[in-house]
Formats: sequence, C-alpha cells, structure tokens
Amino acid sequence: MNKKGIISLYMSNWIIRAIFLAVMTVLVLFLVNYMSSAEVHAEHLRAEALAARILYSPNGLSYTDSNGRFHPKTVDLEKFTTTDVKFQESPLLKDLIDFGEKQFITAKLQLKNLETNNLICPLKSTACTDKSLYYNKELFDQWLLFSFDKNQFTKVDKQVYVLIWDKDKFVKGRLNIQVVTPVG
Amino acid sequence: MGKRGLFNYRKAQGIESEMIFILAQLVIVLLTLSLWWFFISSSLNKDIFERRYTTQDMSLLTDIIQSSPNNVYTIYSYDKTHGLSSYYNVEFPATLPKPSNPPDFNKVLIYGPTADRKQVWYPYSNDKNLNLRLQTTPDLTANKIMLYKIGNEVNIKNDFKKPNLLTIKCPTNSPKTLTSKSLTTIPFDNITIADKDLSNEGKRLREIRKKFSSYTYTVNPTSDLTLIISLSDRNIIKANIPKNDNASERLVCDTINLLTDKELVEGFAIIPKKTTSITLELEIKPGTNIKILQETLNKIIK
Repeated sequence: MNKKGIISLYMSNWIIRAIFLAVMTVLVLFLVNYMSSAEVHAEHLRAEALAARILYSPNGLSYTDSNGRFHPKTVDLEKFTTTDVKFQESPLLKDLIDFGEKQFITAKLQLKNLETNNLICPLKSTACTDKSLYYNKELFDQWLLFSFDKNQFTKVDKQVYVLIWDKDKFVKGRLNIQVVTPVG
Repeated sequence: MGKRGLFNYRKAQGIESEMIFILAQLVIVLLTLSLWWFFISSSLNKDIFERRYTTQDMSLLTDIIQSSPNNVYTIYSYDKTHGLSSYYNVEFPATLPKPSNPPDFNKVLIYGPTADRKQVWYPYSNDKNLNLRLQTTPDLTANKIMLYKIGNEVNIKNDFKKPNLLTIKCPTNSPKTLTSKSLTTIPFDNITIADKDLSNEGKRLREIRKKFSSYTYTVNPTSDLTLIISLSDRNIIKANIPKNDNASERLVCDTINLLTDKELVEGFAIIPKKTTSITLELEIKPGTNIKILQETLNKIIK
C-alpha cells in the first residue's frame, strides 16, 4: 500500500475512534447530569398529608364528642356542611390548610352514606346538583382540565371508609378525596 | 501489502509519523478524561438534589405533625452525605431574600453557603387553629431538629429535651379557687411504688381499666379536690372533684399538667360520670416514693 493509502486508512480508524469517544463522553455527561439533577416528586405524599389533616386533626372534619374525646377518621356531618352556595367551599378547610399567598393544592370531597347509598349534599338547607365539598374550587376546576398533562399536574383519587356522625349516631360511609396539585 | 492497523505502518512511515499520531491520541484521551473528571466532580458538589429532597421532606413532616390527633414529637435528622449538608442552612420560616421582610411562615428554605446562593424552598401548610411557632433555627450543625405538637402549639427546637406528651389543653376560664382540700393516703405512708412488669402493655392497661371500673371509694369526697391513694390500686391515684363545672375542669386540667410536668405520673384518665363530680385517675410512675409524691401533691393543690 502506498503512503496516501496508509494515511487514509489510519485517518478512517481515527474518525471511528473519535466518534466512539464523543458518544461515550456525551453518555457519561448525560447519565451524571440526570442522576444529580433528578426531580423529587412528592405530589402523592402531599395528597396523603391533606387527607391526614382532614381526617386525623382535631380541627378537621372528624367528630369530637361532648366529653371532648376526639374520634379520628370519622366525619361529623355538622362540620361537612357549608353555607357557601356559589363555590361549595368549606371555611373549616380553608383555616385547616393554609398555604399562604400561593396555592399548591386543591381538592374535592364527596361523602357517601353507605347505608342509604347516597352522596351527601354539603349545603345547609339547600338542595345541590353537585354533591361535593371543595377546597379551592376555582383552581380545582382549572387544574382538573389540565390534569391530563402529567408534566404539569398530578391528580390523586383516594377513597377512605369512615364513620359518619349523623346527629346522634354513627353510620357507615365513604369519603372520596380527589386532589389536584401541580407537579414539583 | 502491509498489515492494516494503527501501529503497523512503521516500515512505510517511520518513527516520526508514529510519534505524532500517538501524541495526538494521548492529548485527546487526556482532554476527555479531564472533561469527565471536571464534570463528575462539579456534579458531586452540586447538592441541589439533596437540598430539594430535604426541603420537601421537612415540609411534609411539618404538615403531618400538625395533623396529629394529640401531642407528638419527632426528631428529624438528615444525613451528612459527602459532607454536603455543612454547606447549607435551613430556615423555618423562610426569611430570605430580604431579612427585613416579615418571615414567610409557609416555606422551608435552604440556602448556602452564603444567603444568596442556591436557594431551594418548598411550601408547607399551616393549620390556622394551631399556634404555629416555627422559628428560624440558626445553627443546624448537629443535623438534627425536634419538631413537636403539644396542645395547640407547634414548634421546632434543637435542644432535644423530650417534651411532656401528657400535657393537655386546659379550658381558658379561671381555675377554681380551692377553699377546701383533702389528701388521703390509704393506708401507707412511706412506700416506693414497685416496678411492674411492663412487657405486656396491653394486658397491663386492661388490668388498670378493670381496676378503675370496679373501684369504690372508701372516702366520701366532700372538698373541692380530694386525692385518694390506695394500696389496692398500687400505682394509681384517684382524684375527685365534687363539682363538675368549667372551673373544676380547669382545676383538674392544671393538676394533671403539673403532675405530668414533674414526671410523677405516666398516664391518666378523666372519667366524667353522670353525676356532679369529675373523677381523675392517675397512674404513678414506677419508682416514685409516696412521701415525695404526697409532698408534691400538697404543694400543687395549695
């Protein structure tokens, strides 16, 4: 083989090596970057924390008897009702979960009496078409529309079997909590 | 025809060409290795992931602490992996970026090593019914903090002294003024309560409950507050407040808090009966000397 041929062969080997080296470099940089800057996703935990606040906090929806004894994981029908006919938002939940200026979570609560198999209307002395109690209704409606985009919002559906305190007795019930929260 | 390959051209090209190519290769390999080394080492020092994780973890813990049905405390410790946590500061609540502004009570903020470097924050919710008193913890070099909820107070501290979980929330009205009191010990005086077998907690609690239900007073309480220590009940004090009103409730509540603060009792129950009196049952801590207990009780109810 003449001189030109040898140099040409050598250069082609070099090009292959250079490409291989470049690919490996990019791969290593990508892997290290991916591992060290991975996002932490806590949206499901945030939804669990909200449910725990509603059901286990003495200031939440659970029932406290006349002796001051608190019954966690129950729902007091008196606390579940609201007078906000327009938004059906609970003032109790607004005080219970306050994120300050920015809102990071919205929720819809539906309470079902399992003995009558009917959803309970949260409005006091008014019939309601939507038998749901809301936390940040306006945002909930907006965010729910975009909840198909998993990169922006996370929707969590949670069902909890509870005892409902209805005037003077407990009845079996189920609380459906639908939480929509931004990703991150 | 000569052999193909990188180092098989000596005959055709000679030493000079070979050296040039080898040197060029070495330079490229060194450059690549340096690039990798620089990038990996800068990535290891980039603790944004750790900061994000820590803020979210602390925020969620703060959320959960507030959801507790009763008193609770937890010691949160975070790893000092690779010594990174010594680079940053944690603030409850966030006071940055302008320290003169009111603190933001809904954020856990991590920054450092200087105040404007690599700030990461995450929100937590606040139960407005509670007295949330999370304060800035200036020095977290121990990498440990204690979060607690006692009554209506939620707070953070780093002295790790176990708070009194038996503290109960007392009514806000004025306590009853004691006009008469009686302290009866039956029938012993200077006895130390023996340790009981605590291995079977459930069984022990059932026994105590049984004793409560079957107990009949040997002394008819007529004073504002009567405390009865009975040998048959061994480590249980019973107190009876004849009048079941708000002021009496406050008296019972204050008495319990004082007793539990002094770590003389390790459990209590208030049994409201459908009479005009309140019965308070206290389980005395094993190892407590009755004489000391009597003296303390006397001081408390005075």
